[in-house]
Amino acid sequence: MTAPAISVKNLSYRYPDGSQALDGVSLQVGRGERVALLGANGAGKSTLMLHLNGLYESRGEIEILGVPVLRRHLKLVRQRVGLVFQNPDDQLFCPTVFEDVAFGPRNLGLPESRMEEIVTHALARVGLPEAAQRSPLHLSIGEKKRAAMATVLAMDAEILCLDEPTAGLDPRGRRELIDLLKELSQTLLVVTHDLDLARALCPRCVIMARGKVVAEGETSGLLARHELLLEHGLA
Amino acid sequence: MHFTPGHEHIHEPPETGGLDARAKIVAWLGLAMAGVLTPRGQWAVLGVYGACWLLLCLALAAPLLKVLRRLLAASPFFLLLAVLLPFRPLGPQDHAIAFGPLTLSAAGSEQALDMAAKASLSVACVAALAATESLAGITRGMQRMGAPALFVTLMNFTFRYLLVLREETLRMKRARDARAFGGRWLWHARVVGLMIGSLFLRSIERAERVQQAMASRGYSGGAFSVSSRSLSGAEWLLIASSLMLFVAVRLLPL
Repeated sequence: MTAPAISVKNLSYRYPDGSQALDGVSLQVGRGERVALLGANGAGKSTLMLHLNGLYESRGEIEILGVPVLRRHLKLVRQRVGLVFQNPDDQLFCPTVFEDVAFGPRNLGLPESRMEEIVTHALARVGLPEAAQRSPLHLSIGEKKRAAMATVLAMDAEILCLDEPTAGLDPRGRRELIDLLKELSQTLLVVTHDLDLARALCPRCVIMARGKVVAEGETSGLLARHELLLEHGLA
Repeated sequence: MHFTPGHEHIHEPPETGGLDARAKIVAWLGLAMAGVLTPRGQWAVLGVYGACWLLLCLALAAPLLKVLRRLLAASPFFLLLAVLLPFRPLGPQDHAIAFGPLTLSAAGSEQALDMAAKASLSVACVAALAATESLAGITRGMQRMGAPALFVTLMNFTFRYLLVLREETLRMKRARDARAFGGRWLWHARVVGLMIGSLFLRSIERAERVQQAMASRGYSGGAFSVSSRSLSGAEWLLIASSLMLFVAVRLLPL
């Protein structure tokens, strides 16, 4: 049996100020699966996401494609899990989009001679073939979001974790992003409180509240339970 | 829809002529250096350097009007000092000149003109460099020329987030003004202080998130690398001809 893409067992995390952000979270995501991680603000979704490539460490077990997230595997894990942050201004910090997309591959030690090809391919994948030499400052938010996606696609990540991918997008930008995500073959974990996005993209969803997984199952069934959504701040 | 309204005027300057930034940096900074190193009183030499500036602008297709506007905007900062010099007390080999009701020091006036001319030339060179090359190009060129990578990275980050921070400030100011806060009186200083404090906290948080975004893409410290590239014949031609021209002007019996 092949190992699942993401396997989290009994993960707990306490913020330095003492508040419990994650309280015994367990979660499995199969290879190629698209899962929505739903929850109200402060439910612990983003904190969980930051654990998946070792940015936060705490008690519990996390395995990525069968490899435990430990300090000695960080490079491998970070190549396999691409995090796309909610605010693209945090993700795009270089003077040009090219440099930003090349940042990850360069850190992986890929040869400079292949950089042009890697960047061009990643930007074409997200529908921004002309953007390489532009400054991230001059992109629209929809373009920024797609450029941020390109920065992890360029690393050939097998698992993509997206934090609120549709936040701040207008309806067209939102539709274009969803279309793009549907085309990807990677395993997707989408952290969001946008229920329509979950319906459109993810067959399965997981609901978190107060640092715990409170429900999981088929999206259509789960999102039809109005009282459940109401209880956890999703309706 | 633009996430950052108000940025429309900060367009990326086109890479004029497609020349490598290093050639432009050497040409413009070479001219500025040549100007500053001209001994005081050699007005003809400075004049020719002014002509060289125009020549370079034309050769690199710099948007002249824009460059001059920037020069004008920067001028109060460096002219302010020069304005005071003619009023200094007379020295030993000095004489007074009457200028209407004012008595000026001749040596001071000459020094003031000299300073103003050299400062204008230097600022004009920097403004022209900025107009003929993007900031990304300039910093990349600097790094290829051996500038410390940490310094270059810092410059890039500063520019990248200065504008984001400016947006944030403007949004905060707008939110404050929307609640009818005039902000013109001393007792409003507390609100301004709170705004600065919250801007500072937001910046720290942003820095943390940017660091996370970098680490998640495998960054483990160290300077950003930049691809190397050798200069073309045209670029060497620009470097060699401009430097030779600047030296020749100094050697001419003007």
